Amino acid sequence: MGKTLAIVCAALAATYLILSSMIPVRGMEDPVGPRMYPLLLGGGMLIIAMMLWLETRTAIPVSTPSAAPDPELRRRQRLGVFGAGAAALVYAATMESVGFLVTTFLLMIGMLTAFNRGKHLTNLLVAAGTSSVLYYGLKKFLGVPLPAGLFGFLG
Amino acid sequence: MDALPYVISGFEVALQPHNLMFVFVGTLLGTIIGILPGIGATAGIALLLPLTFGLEPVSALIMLCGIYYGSSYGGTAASVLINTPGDGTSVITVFDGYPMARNGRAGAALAVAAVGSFVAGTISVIALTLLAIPFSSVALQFGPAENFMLMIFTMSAVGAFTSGSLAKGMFSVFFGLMIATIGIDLQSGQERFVFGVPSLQDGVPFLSIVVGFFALTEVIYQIQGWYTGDLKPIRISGRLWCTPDEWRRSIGPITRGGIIGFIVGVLPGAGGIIATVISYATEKKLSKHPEMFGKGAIEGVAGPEAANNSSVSGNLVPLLTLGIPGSGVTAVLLGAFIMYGIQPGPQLMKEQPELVWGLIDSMYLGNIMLLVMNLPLIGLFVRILYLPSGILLTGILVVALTGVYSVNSSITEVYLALGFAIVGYFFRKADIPVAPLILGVVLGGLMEQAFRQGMTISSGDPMIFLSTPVCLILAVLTLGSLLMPVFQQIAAARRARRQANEAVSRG
Repeated sequence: MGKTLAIVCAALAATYLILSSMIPVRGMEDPVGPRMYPLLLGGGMLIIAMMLWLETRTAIPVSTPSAAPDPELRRRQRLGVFGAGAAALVYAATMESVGFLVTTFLLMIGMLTAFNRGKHLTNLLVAAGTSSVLYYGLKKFLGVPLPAGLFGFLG
Repeated sequence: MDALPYVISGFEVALQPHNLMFVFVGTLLGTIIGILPGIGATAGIALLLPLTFGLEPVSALIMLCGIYYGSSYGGTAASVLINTPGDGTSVITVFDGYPMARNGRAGAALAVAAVGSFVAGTISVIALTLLAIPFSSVALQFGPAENFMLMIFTMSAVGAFTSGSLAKGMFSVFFGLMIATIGIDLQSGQERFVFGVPSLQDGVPFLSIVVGFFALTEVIYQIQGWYTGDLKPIRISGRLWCTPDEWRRSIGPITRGGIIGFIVGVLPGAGGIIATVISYATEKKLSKHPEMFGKGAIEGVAGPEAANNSSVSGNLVPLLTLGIPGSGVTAVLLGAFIMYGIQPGPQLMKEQPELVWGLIDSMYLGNIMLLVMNLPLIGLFVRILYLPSGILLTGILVVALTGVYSVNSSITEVYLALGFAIVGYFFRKADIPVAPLILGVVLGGLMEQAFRQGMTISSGDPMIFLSTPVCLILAVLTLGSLLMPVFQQIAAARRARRQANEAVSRG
């Protein structure tokens, strides 16, 4: 992990330095201009990449854990995280067209069905309650223009 | 007593009915956030920050600060009852708080924590009141060079001390500074790293960063934790009060913890966790029965809890008087100030004293409210621990996404927050601290401005940053903060080698 981080850091520094060197500088600016500070940061990041690399060489070895992580558990964890991530992406993509109230309710009921299993009535009440309180609370009390979408007639 | 007229005018602000209500709401939410395992003050403030945007700045800041010190009260309950700290500053409380709960003394542990937090919290707010004017008077003399060096020192200290690895801490600082360079350069009007995305011209939205790195990353971890089983809280049994002997044993630790917490809290990078560790070590050293520590010694709860709460006011000293945050939470608070168009620091204390002193005085009131709320109602609050984690993580996800969207009605900012959540997840996986990154993001713009102003004044001579005694002291402190972890690592490596050699020679 340490060496990978050092490589990622070096790649980030190099990319940032290249992009920084492309920032145009006009003649009449202050002695520093818009380019010097990012160049200094990029240089600093390169030094940090070297420090990260050196740390992996001088790190004190720690004893390995006695039990290896359960592969089935890790698979399910990954599935849960990716599922929630995909749901959040779909939520963001559809919120403005479908409306805040409906998409928030659907996101919540989906997540609750997955992570609060078997409690359908509770889940339904929590999803409907939270999405309504957020929608009307933000819209009516704080004046936030949340998208009404397909259900604009609800106000 | 230069501060007295300001303190009085501050109370006029803090005692206004709507501000009193926000003190109450902030401390209540803080307590609840503190109780929830894993969600600390930083994530809590990040999560609720967007929802405060319709409020007056002073009311919103009173509420956000209430969340900050309220969470340090709430964190104790999770440590004592489920052996899981609400956040990092409550880790030490687990050592003796949980054994006390298992011995049927959960009520005593919670009571001493609440009273200790109140006493230490009040001591530290008094210290903040007394130090605010002298600190800001000194800061008013600072020019761009001193300001630049102060920011360099703060970032190096936070980067060096918030994780076991200097390189990882500094990586986090520089990553934050790089993010802060995205957008239009205010001096030349030149676009930098915008890649044609119009919404990046004003820079990367601060809320997308904090919500992504703290609240949404926490959701990912909660989902992973959901598959590994539930936490089983210990029920509070008996009276929520201590015996006379327990009170007698707690007075010293509470007083010492209060002083330690404040002093450590003022130092950049140190913060609540180090304050609690120092307090615990001090109490163990001073105790006639050090062997009882780790088995339910009340001193092991009283001292660290006092230090934890006291460090909050200490942390606010550099933020309010210098405009420089010394920790992740205060960096998020500085971001909140800036989002309200307020730049904390000596000028703010001069130009808007009612805001600063209203905020400071609200903390006196907040501490009283927390004591009143926590002693009789803690049994009620801890019921949150019985809330199914599926409901909790879903709630956090929805509030976080809604909050990010609601500020500018921008879906791009929601996508950015989701992107930062992924980066935040890898940061946690790789054990990279996030607090230095937030500090870099918040201070990046100010630091570049101070750097360029300094260079303009000196016609491009970088020696201006070492030209005054203050600059030189700050340079030495910066060097010290960077070298100390290196020496510590070398010493640890030598110790490990020696132990390995001894083991080989014995074997």
